[in-house]
Amino acid sequence: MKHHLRALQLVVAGLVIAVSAGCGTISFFPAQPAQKAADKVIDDIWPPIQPTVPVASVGIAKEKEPPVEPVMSPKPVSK
Amino acid sequence: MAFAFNFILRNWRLRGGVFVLLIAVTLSSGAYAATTPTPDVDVSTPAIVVIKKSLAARFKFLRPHLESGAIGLTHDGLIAVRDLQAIAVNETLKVEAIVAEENKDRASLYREIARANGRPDWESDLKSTFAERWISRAASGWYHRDSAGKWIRKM
Repeated sequence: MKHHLRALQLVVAGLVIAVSAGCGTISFFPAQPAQKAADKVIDDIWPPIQPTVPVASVGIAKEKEPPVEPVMSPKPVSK
Repeated sequence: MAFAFNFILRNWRLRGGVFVLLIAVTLSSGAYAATTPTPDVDVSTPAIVVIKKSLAARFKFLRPHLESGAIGLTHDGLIAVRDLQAIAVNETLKVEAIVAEENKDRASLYREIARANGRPDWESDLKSTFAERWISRAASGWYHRDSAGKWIRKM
């Protein structure tokens, strides 16, 4: 029984080593810092993107201008 | 499974072994995570500078077609022609050629950034990261294609 236990312990130890070594080959990609850095790269490629659609065409009504009163030329004063 | 579990529980030596195993795995994964380098996606090499310049110069041509919906962004970090009818007949071939050039440059960009980080295995992750960021940074009204091939108009 003792020998079996010893063998099992060795197997467990082997597994630990295998898992630890395996971790080194697994690709761990830190996504969050990569996203921030990708944004910086995109900044260099794409200038700030603003919609080129005219404002009036997306439903914002232009403020109505007050009617301009016609300028009347002064009436000639009859003498 | 139950037998193995009972066997481990009954045996104090084995129990100790499993405990040691758990601690070792925890420590090794923690140490690995702590030592994993942060990807320097904004890394600059002569090759990356050239690719970025090429992409920036091409954007002036692509932009009206992105706005008209003739082309769109894809879920894999590239672009694709969405609606040929939105392109003038005499420009179709030119647009298709430029889309191909753009995709070539984008693929090179992801590959070069991965290589510059000494992690060529990150290329696929970088591609996914950029795909998400391109779409997120796109203007409203532009189209992007999901993994099922469906075109979605960004609101």
